[in-house]
Amino acid sequence: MNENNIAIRLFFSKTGRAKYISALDLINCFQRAIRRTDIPIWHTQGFNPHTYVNVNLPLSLGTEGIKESMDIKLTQNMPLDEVKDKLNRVLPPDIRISSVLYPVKKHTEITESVYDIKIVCDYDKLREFLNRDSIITEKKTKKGITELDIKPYITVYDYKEGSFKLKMPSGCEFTLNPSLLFDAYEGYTGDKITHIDIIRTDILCKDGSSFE
Amino acid sequence: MELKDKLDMILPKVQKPSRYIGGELNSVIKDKDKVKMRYAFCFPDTYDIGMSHLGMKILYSLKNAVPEYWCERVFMPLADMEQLMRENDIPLYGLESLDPIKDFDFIGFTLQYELCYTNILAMLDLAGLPVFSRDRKNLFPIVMAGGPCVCNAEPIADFIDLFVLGEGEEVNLELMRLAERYKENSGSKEEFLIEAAKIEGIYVPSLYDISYNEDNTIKAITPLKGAPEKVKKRIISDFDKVFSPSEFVVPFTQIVHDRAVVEVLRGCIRGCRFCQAGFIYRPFREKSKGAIVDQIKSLIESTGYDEVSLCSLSTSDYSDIEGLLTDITDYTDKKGVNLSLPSLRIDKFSDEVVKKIKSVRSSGLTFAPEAGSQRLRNVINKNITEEDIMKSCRIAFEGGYSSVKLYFMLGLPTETLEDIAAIKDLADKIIDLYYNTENRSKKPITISISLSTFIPKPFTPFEYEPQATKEQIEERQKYLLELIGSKGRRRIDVSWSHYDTTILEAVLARGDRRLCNVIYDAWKSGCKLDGWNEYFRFDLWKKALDKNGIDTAFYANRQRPYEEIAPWEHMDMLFSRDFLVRENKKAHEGITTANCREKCAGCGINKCLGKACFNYE
Repeated sequence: MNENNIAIRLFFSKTGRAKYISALDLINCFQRAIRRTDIPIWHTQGFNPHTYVNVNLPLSLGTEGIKESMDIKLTQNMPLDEVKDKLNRVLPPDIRISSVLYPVKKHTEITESVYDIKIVCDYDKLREFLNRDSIITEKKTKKGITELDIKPYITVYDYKEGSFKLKMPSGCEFTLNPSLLFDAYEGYTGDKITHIDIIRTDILCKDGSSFE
Repeated sequence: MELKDKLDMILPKVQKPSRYIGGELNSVIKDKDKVKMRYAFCFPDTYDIGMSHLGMKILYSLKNAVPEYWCERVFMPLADMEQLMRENDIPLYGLESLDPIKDFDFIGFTLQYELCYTNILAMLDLAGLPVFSRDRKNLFPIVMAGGPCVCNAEPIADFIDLFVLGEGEEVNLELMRLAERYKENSGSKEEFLIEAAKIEGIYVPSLYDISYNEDNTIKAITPLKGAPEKVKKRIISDFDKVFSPSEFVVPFTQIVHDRAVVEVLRGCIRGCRFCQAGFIYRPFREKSKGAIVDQIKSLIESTGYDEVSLCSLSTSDYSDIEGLLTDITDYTDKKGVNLSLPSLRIDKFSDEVVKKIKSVRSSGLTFAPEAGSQRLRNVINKNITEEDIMKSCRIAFEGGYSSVKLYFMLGLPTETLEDIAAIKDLADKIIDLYYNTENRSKKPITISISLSTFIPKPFTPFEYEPQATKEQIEERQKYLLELIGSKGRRRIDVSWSHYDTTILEAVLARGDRRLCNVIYDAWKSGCKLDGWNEYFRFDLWKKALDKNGIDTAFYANRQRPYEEIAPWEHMDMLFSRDFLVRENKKAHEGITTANCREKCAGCGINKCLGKACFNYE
């Protein structure tokens, strides 16, 4: 890919009804949106050229995100604000581009995600559960189901009754899905979560800085 | 708890949740306090199937083009979703507002195939409504249905308040305007239905009394309370002015036909005697080239699709097909949009156009000779000759194709084992042709033969014919497989449909009102999504048929006399019954009928146009 192309990074929110769009369908959705504009998009070369888009860190189904990002490539320069406005005009209402930038970091540098959790359940049980020394879960891997203590990997902060912030590993090397924690909660306590909203608010790199 | 919140708790647990939540590009959101009529357009199959359907897109856009009407989409949830909806008291809802459809003014189903009937009951029940029309006492919601199956809707007559016969573009709005008046004056359901039956194209089944003879045939169909003796099909005579959507709702998830679709013509000039669509969609009408190209442009621009397909019963019969394809490819080539052309006959085109079509990505070559021998093709009036097939194959082989798909029907009237043997001979000739073609591909040829079972349908010349029995069909399948042999199966792949689904379709297609209870019992015992092999439960259907004392042979395998009163006798498709009888007789004599453009066959449809369908010299 050494011919003329300019990589740009779209930051967007994926909320409301759009949280049910899978990562694969999201790519499709952006490709179609781009085709509805006159943005000078770069296509992959080869037998079956297609609009190049790359999701930097997939978001699990049912989770909202306000700092999601996707990379595309242009064949010629266009003011970045113009790209933003053009795409916002043709994207579905629950996907909104907040900013368009030139990439600073590589997506392989991503190590963690930060989530805002709003939850309705038995709060005494929840507090007790989050303070456990170990939380053993069953994690599905390519080799099958393995047992894993996720407690060392998670950070809970800004805890209030019914809401808190959650930091968990994500990226190319190791990813834990928040649902693992909440499935474990129901398994350990026998309580049933009656409502939960999970919003990914930030994506962090190894040095603790935001992915940009 | 709001319905939206309940959905948030269950959607993460289902397969492909994006099909249950709406929010797609171009889906229409209105302020519910400002609209006068709310319409739930229900497709009685899954999202993936329903969202591919052009008719739904047309009627959705058409209703939403009226500012004070709001039309929403509703589909049949799959088993995982249905179970969670029931467990969490979530009634069937519209994808746009997420409001329960039982509170809408209209619930409208489209009937594309007979095997969707149990889904209608499932959807009404999931909406929280009684399935029988007589048990829904309030005027609203009005439960209606349209689509090709309305030409004999008797098997579901007890569930639906009113049907639309023919093309829905105009009559839907007339009906909604009438309902608006009744809503303002708080009229009763009965008064409304009596008034609706006066609109041309509206069939209110409760206004007809059916009596039967001792031999189970129909004795009389008697209209009540001023309902017309014959319900006349609606058609749009000026086809260029017919409503065409300039936008499609663009789904997030992959659906069956995930592309822009433009209708190029309606009706068909061919008159294949087995084909219901070829008769009920008459007369033949075309859109102008300019209108078609404009519609393609606006759809591509509003959806972002990179593929467009032309839709019709036989696109090759467009009068200036070469000119049309040239105009379209001028645009699509420039935009990098693929043009897909289903069921096009390439033997009729110049080399230049063939080249253009070939630049389009293509999966393979498909023919539907329907019958193996010329004799039987004459019987069914399928006017494709062996020469046509060979010519198309040669063009395709020279262009690098190495696979051919052939569709045939088993159980056609007058069929013998000789006709079956001819299927194998045709496949052999295509194989010979391939290996004798210079510049062909280096790959070995593969031929796929797909065998379906012929189902006699109402409003075709074969509506009088018996369907072949299971034994007959199995004998013919076996005979063909033996002829091809295990060695031949390496090159020729044969697949066939299950008889159990076809016999059910045959019974429902030509059935009468006594089948309503069978459908009810089948649904009650767990039948739904009958068109899907993995859901189809013939054992349960069999029980429901037995319980109601219904013999499938009476509906499916019986030769019906010309003078017998058909269950659909009170439907007028605007062509004459005499024409069908004439065609039936000609079929048995092996005489073909010329296509409508060559010579008028005198079906009588031209009366609705007030002129001849074509300019005959």
